[in-house]
Amino acid sequence: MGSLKCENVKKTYNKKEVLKDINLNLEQGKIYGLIGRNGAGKTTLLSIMSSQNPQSGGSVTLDGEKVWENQKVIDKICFSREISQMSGFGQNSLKIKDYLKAAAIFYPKWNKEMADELVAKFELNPKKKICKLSKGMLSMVTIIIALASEAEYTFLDEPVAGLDVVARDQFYKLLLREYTKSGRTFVISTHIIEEAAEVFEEVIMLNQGKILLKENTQELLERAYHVSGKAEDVEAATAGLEVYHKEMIGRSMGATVLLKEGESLNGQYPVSVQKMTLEKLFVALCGGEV
Amino acid sequence: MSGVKRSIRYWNWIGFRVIGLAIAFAVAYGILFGGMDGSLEEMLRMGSYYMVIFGMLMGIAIQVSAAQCYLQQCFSMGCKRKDAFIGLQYTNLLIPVVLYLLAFVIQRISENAVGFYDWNMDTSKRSILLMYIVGTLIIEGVGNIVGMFCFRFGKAGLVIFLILMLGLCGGVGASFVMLCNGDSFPKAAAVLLGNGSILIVAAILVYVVCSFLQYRMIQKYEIHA
Repeated sequence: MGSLKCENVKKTYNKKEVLKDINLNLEQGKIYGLIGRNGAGKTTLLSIMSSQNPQSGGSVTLDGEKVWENQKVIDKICFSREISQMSGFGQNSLKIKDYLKAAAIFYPKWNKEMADELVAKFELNPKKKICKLSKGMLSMVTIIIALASEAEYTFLDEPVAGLDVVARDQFYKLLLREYTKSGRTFVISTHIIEEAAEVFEEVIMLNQGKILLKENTQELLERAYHVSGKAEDVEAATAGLEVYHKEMIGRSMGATVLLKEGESLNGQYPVSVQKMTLEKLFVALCGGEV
Repeated sequence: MSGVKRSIRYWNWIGFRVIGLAIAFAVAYGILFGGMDGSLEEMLRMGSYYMVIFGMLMGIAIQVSAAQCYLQQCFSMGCKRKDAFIGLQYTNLLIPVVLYLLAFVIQRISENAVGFYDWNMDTSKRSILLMYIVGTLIIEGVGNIVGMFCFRFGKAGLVIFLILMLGLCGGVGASFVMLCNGDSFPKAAAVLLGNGSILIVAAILVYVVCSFLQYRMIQKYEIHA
């Protein structure tokens, strides 16, 4: 089975280290969720993995072949970037149909029928300029390019930003339909974690330029607990475990625990134990102390 | 299809859009400046003149648009830096060649159809062709650098571009005044191009050096938006 691999990947901008020794292995045929706070390095990582930007150190390979400036490998990857709204000069002065035409030229497996079908489904006017589109419509364009590219490894950066709830639902259904049909690998970077959590087979958390964890979503949630109660009871119940994000409210305490294999909470203390959602776990792991 | 072929196809598409724009402007200018006395010959004369002028000038315009817009699109859709660079050079060749050939065809058809021979820039003359090649190579070479300046230094680069464009527009305006005063380009070109081959070699050198610098900058080009 093929895999896209990052080994000790670093990226610096003006001496600022944005990515620090990233080691990551993306297996074929999975949907990955890439989550992290603003500025965590998600877009930078995806742009390096797709050969859009060079890394400052380390290597990125697909099935053992380097990705950078390697057309054979690049043809298997599509990173549909988030399009930001700017007026006038630049990419935004292009029309939707120009975007799609360029995509048809560059992506070797471009599916024009699918692109046309999605343009109609999202009720987009192909003659409309990118700078005149709403944020939701811009997201639709990035989704169309990603899905119609039919690339083996497809990365989407904030695909649901600005989409209303119906359009988001449509997107997840389209994504699953395409995934089931083709077995492509998708990496989806998003801030709307809870909604997307069900779709992610694996979740990759990026924090301050480092991979915090990469794990099967269900397995991760099965070992994540929020423990609350009197401070001394919580401390005792979680003693010796991996504890994150302790919160004090008066004499009470809340803490997030990630159990390792064979570990369990000490049940002899009167504490409340709750399962966690991916979003809450993310806040606990990446939120820091307030 | 190989990466280079895709890049050429993409820049072909962009190039012909620019050519269409240049033709539209040349026709508009031909009607505007040549139609003053209402004669078709004058319109053809001015239209073909501006077609040649735009053939030389469009190099800068495409390079600036490329740096601001098209290169980002290319790279974000999987085009290699090297292939994009080759595509840009192809565009630099395509636009002036097509516009010059178009002006040439219009002039020859006009000569045969209406017997009009009094061109501002007779594209069948060797001196005009030499001047065109030299001018185009230098302008496009500078354009390659200006485009990268616009990318690297943002608004400051754009200011440099605008100053250059103002200079070039001034040149176009001055040439128009010269024409109105009865001077002719072939005469001026004959003086300039006394040593045509040296001029061409110098222009090629300018182009190659500028393109080499452009290539180095494209290698470091990063997509941020």
